[in-house]
Amino acid sequence: MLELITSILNLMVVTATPLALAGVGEVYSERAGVLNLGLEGIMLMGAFLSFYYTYKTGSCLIGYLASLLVGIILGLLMAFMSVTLKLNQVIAGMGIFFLGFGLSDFLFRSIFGAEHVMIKKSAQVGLPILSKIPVVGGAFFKQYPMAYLSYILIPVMWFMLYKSRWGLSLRAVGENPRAADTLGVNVYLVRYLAVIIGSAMAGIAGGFLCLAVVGLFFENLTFGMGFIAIGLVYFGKWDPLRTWAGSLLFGFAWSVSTTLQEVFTKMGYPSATYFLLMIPYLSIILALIAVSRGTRSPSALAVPYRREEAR
Amino acid sequence: MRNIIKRFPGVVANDDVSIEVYPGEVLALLGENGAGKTTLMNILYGLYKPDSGEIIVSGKQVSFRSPRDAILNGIGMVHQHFMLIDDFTVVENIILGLSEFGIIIDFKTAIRRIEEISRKFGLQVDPYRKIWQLSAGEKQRVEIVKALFRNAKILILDEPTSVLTPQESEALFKTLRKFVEAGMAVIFITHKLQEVMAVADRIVVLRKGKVVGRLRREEATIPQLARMMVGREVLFKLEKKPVTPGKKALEVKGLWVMGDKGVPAVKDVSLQLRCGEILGIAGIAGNGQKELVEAIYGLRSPIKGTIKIFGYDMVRGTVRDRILRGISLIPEERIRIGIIPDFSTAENLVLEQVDFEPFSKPILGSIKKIDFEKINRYAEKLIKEFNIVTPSPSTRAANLSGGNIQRLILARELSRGSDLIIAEEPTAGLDVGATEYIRKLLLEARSNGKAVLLVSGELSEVLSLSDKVVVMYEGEIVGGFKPDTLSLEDVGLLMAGAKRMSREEVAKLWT
Amino acid sequence: MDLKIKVEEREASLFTFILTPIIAFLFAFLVGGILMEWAGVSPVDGYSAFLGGAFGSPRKLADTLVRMVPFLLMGVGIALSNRGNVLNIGAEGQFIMGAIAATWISMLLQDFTPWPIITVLAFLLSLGAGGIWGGIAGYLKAKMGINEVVTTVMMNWLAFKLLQWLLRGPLKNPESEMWPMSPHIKAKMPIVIPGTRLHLGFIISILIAYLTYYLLFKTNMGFKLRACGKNPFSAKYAGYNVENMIILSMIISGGLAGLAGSIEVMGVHHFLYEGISVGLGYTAIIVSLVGKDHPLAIIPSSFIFGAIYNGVVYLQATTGLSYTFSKALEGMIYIFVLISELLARYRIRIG
Repeated sequence: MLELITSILNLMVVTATPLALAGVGEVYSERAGVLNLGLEGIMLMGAFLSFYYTYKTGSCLIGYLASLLVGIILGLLMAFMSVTLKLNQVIAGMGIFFLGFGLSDFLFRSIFGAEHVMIKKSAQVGLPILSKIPVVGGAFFKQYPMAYLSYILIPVMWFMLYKSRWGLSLRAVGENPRAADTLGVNVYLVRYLAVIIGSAMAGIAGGFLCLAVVGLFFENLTFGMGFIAIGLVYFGKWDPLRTWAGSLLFGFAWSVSTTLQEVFTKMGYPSATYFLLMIPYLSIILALIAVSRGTRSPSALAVPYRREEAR
Repeated sequence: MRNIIKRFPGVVANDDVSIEVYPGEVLALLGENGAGKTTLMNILYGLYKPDSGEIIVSGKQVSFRSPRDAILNGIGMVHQHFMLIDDFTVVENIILGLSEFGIIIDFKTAIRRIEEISRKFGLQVDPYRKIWQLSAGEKQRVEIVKALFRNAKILILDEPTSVLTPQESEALFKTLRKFVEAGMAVIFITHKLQEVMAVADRIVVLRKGKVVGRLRREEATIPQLARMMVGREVLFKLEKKPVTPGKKALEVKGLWVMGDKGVPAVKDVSLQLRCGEILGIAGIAGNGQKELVEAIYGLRSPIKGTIKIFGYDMVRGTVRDRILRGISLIPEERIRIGIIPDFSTAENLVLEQVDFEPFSKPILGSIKKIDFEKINRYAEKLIKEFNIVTPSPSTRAANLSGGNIQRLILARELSRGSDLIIAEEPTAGLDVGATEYIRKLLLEARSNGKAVLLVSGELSEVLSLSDKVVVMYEGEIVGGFKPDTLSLEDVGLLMAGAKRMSREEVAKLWT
Repeated sequence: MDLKIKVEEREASLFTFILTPIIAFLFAFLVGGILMEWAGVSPVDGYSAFLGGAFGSPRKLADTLVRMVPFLLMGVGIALSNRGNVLNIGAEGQFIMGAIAATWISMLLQDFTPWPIITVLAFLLSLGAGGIWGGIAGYLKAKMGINEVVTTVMMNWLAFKLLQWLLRGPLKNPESEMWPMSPHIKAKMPIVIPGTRLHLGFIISILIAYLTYYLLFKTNMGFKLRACGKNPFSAKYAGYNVENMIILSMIISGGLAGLAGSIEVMGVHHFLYEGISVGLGYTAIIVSLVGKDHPLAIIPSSFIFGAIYNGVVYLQATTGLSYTFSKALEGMIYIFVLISELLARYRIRIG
């Protein structure tokens, strides 16, 4: 029984990690005023590229680097469209989604055809001492290396957002870019960087999904996680730690329903699987309803900034 | 600044303008709205780049690519609309963009420096409070400290008294003198003649983008400045015919309305407005006037109290209900709220009426077919009547100039046959010609038996147009009087919350 | 960052309006050609197979018209809700719900009711199912300010999972063990041109496109909807009920997508299966962008995407290039059209 709990919690962290990474990245982007809806597409491209390069080189590290790189490139494109060209951010984000969605699938099929190609998956590594703690040790401290990275990265990002002067500039740009501009903050640069950071993290998140969770690539590997991450940013009220908490909650919901699947199948109701998988998606909607009161987004979110306004 | 030229699409904002400022003096930049004063200073501050001309600071020619460069050259600016981040604290706003306090911000040192400046110039600010909690006067002090914090030697203030009470303005002038004594230079942008005479050492007058006068204060007189500003004789008195008030158009009793920050913005407000009357609501912007108007108009639900429009209880009614009862609103934010910028002029002129008979006929249920012919004819009539300058009725409304957009809004609101008209800052940002015209229209409406509720931060406007005036401070009505019965000083005290009239005294207005 | 790119408005002429999407398409096809080359297919072979597949014969042309029907219906619905400033990313899910509704009613009644009646009932039910599915997201946005992109995407997944469950459970075809699918349904759309697969749904969708155009631009409801979409603040001040407009746009948009789903089941496949919609709802979003959210322009736009869809299937058969090429191509078309629209409306100065 305890083993069951540990495995549920372990799966919770595994599911939460890509969401947390992409989510916190999006927090940065949105706090600077840019809504990036293309996360799903970026995650898919990250997943594909990590798959391809791990396949080619046998090293997960190279795979992760590739996914990081594609995240940066797509982030650059998104920033260019939203900040420089000042396109409608929602539509531009959907463009990145469609692009990533289509390209990743096309590239995969063109290279690998219809075969099922496996790669060497990343493995879970146990931390000494900590992984021996009953119940939670096996869940939190016997994890994939990228999960450990997220344990460190996310609190650091939280700290930087609120206590560093870069974080101050970033938040200022998202609240009142004009004010920040008059004080000499380079609004465009800050937004570019914020979007690229967010996008890079989404790329890595995609890589994680492929290399750690699944081990292969297929269409729609991300299962809507890019959009779920965006929902989590709202749920977390644009705070990195709350978004992380939200991702853990979602991970828990997903983990429980997946585990219940096995129970139901054993009991002779295999089709209930799909019904159970509805639960996580429903939980996001319910979570959003729960926090919808009194939530305030960054004031300049999704509004392109124009320096010279004619009278 | 030498030979500065700056063009925007359709207008030359600065036409070969040259000015000089010396340390230890206050230079007033005088001109009416649209004369080019703010543009010129925005260029000095690095927000705009001049199309031609030079800027020379302390003998060196400089070119500013952004405010950062201007700040490095010792130039600081306090804008008319505060450049502050509401959600941040005072200290966060002051140190934003600075790198001296480390990557992990050293708040202690920053706060110490703020306190030094506060002491030196007598500018009290609380570093830990959030901006949204501050009053306009306090916010302005933060802006000034922000500039001083960056070692400004030249301080530009753009219409600083527009958000201050008369007493606060006095205090500001005293502070400016302290700056000047310390060797700084102050450039003071304003369109108010009294202020210029009170605070300036030298005056430069701008009109339509050109310099039309340079004088020392000792040489100047108010009528002379006015003539230079406007180019012709200015009428300061408006014709107001006596009108007997008719039936009650609006009655508000004990109204409490919640604000956006979770605290009541309107507290126990009661007032009455009759047809043929103009009731003015005076007070510094931000004291609950916006929320009061929203409640009366139906956009915000009150938590307590009653609102009766022509006798009908409207507390639970919608905006549409009120429009059907005969209400019109001229909003403060013309472009954001007053028009649909992408729609044509004609479409904008029938915004509230598109559902009604001549303009559409029912086809299925509440779906009606629009008669564009009739709409265009109506639009043409209004365009002629109100002198709206537009190439054709189908031009996009966003392409009209500010003054014409206001004419469009007035045309729409005043031609609908409404008997209750609410006007929010109707002449803000407009030139003298448009301002006169609009005030004339309001007085005309009054003579025609309409009820007008006028909200304006421009004290002279409120006092000259209204039959009765109430003053709002922090959501309450602190005074009610007929214009000319109270001294300007007393009105200022009411606006600042330093004095209040009892409820009985205010209620005398309604008898 | 010394490079300054200034974006200024300029008047758009009809010429630029039509020319720019064409240029965008050309660019997209150019990049597509590069991708083909990379995948080992000569662009010349590729594109000629593509065009042949879409328009090669009268039968193929009819097939393209068949393929464009769901794009047209959903595209028009999305255009309407876009005009109301509500982004319906959920056409996919609403489509599925409509398909489920049609299949269910048919399975329920087909043994003792004539098919024309079931067909009409299926229409109504699918309109309702899609309308409710979309309306929920609309309600959440209107009353609680919840971002409709996230809710609609979640509901897409919900609908898909629901479909998967139903196909293995209540709606299962007992004879089919391997693939989850429903039994054959009798409700159908009659063929209008004999010898082809072109069914009544095509005519219905053109009709609906026109009706939507009329609604949007000639009626007071469309006027108010567009006003709410352009500037909700002004609309509120003018007395319009912006919240209701949001909900209404989503109901109509969702209903049309649901209708598309039922037409697809009844006109093309005649049974329900998991792959009933493989991204059709998402493609419809691109269709509406290319059609500039104008119902009449969406007719040619949906035709183009119908052609792309069919062309690519043929392309795979003849050259071996993966059919997923269409997804990549669509993504690029979207981005290029987006950027080109900017160039049409604004002048960009660099330096």
